[in-house]
Amino acid sequence: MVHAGLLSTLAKIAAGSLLILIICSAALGQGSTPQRGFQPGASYALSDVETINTTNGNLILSLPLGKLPAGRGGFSGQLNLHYDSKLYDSKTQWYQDFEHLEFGNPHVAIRNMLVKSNEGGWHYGTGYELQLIDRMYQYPPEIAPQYPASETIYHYKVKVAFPDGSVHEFMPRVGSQIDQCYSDIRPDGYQSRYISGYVQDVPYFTNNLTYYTFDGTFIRLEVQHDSDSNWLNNPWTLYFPDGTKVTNLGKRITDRNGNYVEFSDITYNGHLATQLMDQLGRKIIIEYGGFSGGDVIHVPGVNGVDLTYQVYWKSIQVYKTYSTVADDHFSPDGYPDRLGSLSVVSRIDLPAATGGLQYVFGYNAADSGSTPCCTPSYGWGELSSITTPTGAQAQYQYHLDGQNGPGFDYRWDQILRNQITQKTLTYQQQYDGNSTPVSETWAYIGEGGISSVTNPDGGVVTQLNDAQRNYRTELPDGAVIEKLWAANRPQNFSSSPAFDEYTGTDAYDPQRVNGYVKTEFTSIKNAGGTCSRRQGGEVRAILSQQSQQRTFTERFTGRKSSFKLP
Amino acid sequence: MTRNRRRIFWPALLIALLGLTALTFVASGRLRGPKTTETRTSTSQNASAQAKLKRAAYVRRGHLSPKLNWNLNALGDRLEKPGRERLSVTGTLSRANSQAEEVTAVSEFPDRLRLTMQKGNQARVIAFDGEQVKAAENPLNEAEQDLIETLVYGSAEHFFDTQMEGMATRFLGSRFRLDDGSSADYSGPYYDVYKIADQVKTSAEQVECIKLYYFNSETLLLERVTYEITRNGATIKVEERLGDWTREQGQQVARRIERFENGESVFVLTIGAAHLTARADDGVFVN
Repeated sequence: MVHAGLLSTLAKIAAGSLLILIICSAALGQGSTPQRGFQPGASYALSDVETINTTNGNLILSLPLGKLPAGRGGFSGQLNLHYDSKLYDSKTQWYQDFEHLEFGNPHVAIRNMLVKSNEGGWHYGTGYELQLIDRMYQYPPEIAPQYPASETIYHYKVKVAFPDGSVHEFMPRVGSQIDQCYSDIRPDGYQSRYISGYVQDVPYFTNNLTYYTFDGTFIRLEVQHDSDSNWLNNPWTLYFPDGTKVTNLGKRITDRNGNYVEFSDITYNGHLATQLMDQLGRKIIIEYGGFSGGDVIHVPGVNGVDLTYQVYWKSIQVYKTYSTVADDHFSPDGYPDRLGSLSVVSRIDLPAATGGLQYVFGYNAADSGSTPCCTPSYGWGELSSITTPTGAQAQYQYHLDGQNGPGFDYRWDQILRNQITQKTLTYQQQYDGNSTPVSETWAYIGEGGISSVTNPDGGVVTQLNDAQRNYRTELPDGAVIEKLWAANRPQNFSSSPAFDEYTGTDAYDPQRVNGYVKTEFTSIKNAGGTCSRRQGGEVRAILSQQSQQRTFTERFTGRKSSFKLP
Repeated sequence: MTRNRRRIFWPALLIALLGLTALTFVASGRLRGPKTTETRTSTSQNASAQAKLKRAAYVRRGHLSPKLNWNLNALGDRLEKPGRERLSVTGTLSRANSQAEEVTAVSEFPDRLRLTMQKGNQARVIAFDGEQVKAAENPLNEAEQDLIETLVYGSAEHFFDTQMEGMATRFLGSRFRLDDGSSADYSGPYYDVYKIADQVKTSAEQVECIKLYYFNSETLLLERVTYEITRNGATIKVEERLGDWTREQGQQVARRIERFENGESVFVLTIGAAHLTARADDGVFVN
């Protein structure tokens, strides 16, 4: 009896241990996507074409290359060329190391590979793209999990890439289990099931499938059903809160009054081209390879004159290595991998009518072929300078610039976190016919959630952020803005947690989904330059901030009031 | 729990857990295939460490953008796992104004090709190991270099190799049509197009060449590759078309490969038989 009881106990413990092992494996990340474009809750330093995300140190450019005349209700289409300095995504890859065997079998390392993102770097804003992620792709076929592991069934995730480079994740409203936002349902209604000894996708839903965002953008996605088994050709519609909708596989943008503009990918002058056209037939055309150095943008001018922009592209070589694994006893250098080359914009010539004006762009990596193969670049391939048509120049430095040679070893997550540390703007100050060269410098520091921006006049803006949100900002005059966030959890929102090592957050946390600023406090210093300590009161219980006067705004009830504290 | 039981319990628990761990590894090992080779380097940022890199023997999805996973699915799984790495085909190579030649080709990822061309009693063997091209007797003439460039660099396998090698890539867009977009009842193919700064090594010098790879938006298979070359000071527009994709042992194989220069057909390779086998270290690609 004793023996049997012991065995029973051991069996339970062993099963429990195995379950823990399986759960731990399942909870490991499937890769990270840095926040690009504009995200709700983040904080930005804005100018005409350049934006710096003070939450993650991201440089964003949005260069307007042409705009169609306004149509009905002022609705119009515009073509922008976007740049985002978060060049890479990470993807998890299970790797068999045959050089190190364990019990006769290769050691399996979970590598985090950096892959150049289609939304990072330069791209034209030419519509929306539906993406379907399959988490089974992180495994080589020979070591992929087998049924009944939940990943084999719940493995699909839907995202949509926006023209500005931001990518938004969508949750299916299907009434079945969601595991870390991975579902068993494909957007075309197919379901993954275990049949006849293996997992396969079979037709299931015959109605339209509905998805929704949970990042505060409040966008709905509806994917129509069709008769074939190819999800890529199923029509879908994005519905925005302001009544705008996107149809025709992400190419047609319609306002709430039914006016639309449409992107279409065609052939023009014997070259591939993307055309933006409104309902009156007015169009802007990107002619890819329209000249030997790059693309020609055709924009209609006065009396139908063809105004052309020339966008020059080139390749730069990064050739830097990074560790894909944080700690592994078999690989002290962390199973390294190497980054290759990037395609970048080197110059934009504005229409000839401007008199030969141009933008020129520099990078922290050498042009392809300009240095011997495999020489590591100065930086990790980011934009390092812009010379504007007026001759003004902005120069950018990044945290990991110039760190080459022995001893400079980096992990994948450090590359993802690489951020701007300094911007220097040099220009000619024009005054009464005289010009004086001026140089202004901004310094950006981001460390452990606390970031600061030092302006050219010495003023410092300090912020407390996490990967998604800004909580506290202290302005150069000492005023402090504090935000209290709340969640707007959608009905029946259910997903198991998925902590992201890179962001340090769990995007599926019910206390975080559809986050919005519930309350914002602005504290202003008194004439003496100090905030006196306030005692008592409910507000003090929420805030540790000391102030004499606070402005209290209830944003989402529309009430705005201010009160003076004792 | 009595004292005696406790004395037995903890060592037994330790032994059981160790046993369980061993069993888990042994069991998981049965699912694993033969040895694969991948890159190992030091992460120190210096040129000598970088130069040691080897080419990946298989396509790893960790290097692919999410969209390209679906194109890789359409092709089959032979680029990802051991068992069917080697593609052997026999066919006919027809050139304008020339007698057709019987061709035997053996290829493996990445960029390896052995081509045997039989014209009457004469056989010509060309081997390309991904870095160097070699031929018995005479060096390659221009037409043979073009043939190697089309068969190696114009293939779907090579496209995925460019992604493993981290070559500069731009996704131009999806569902490109081949007309001006004015026709409402267009019935031609739609393409997803990638622009790649490729490195071509068919001659002594490595040459950068900007190429467009057209994947059919419906089938997700590679159908066209276009680029420009300069010959005798003149720019020539090259187009390579891959067609008649058929499934062979669970893998897609293009049965017709044609090269056009300035719109004129230069040659067409029509494949009769195709067979897939495991990778072999028999040196056929080094002549």
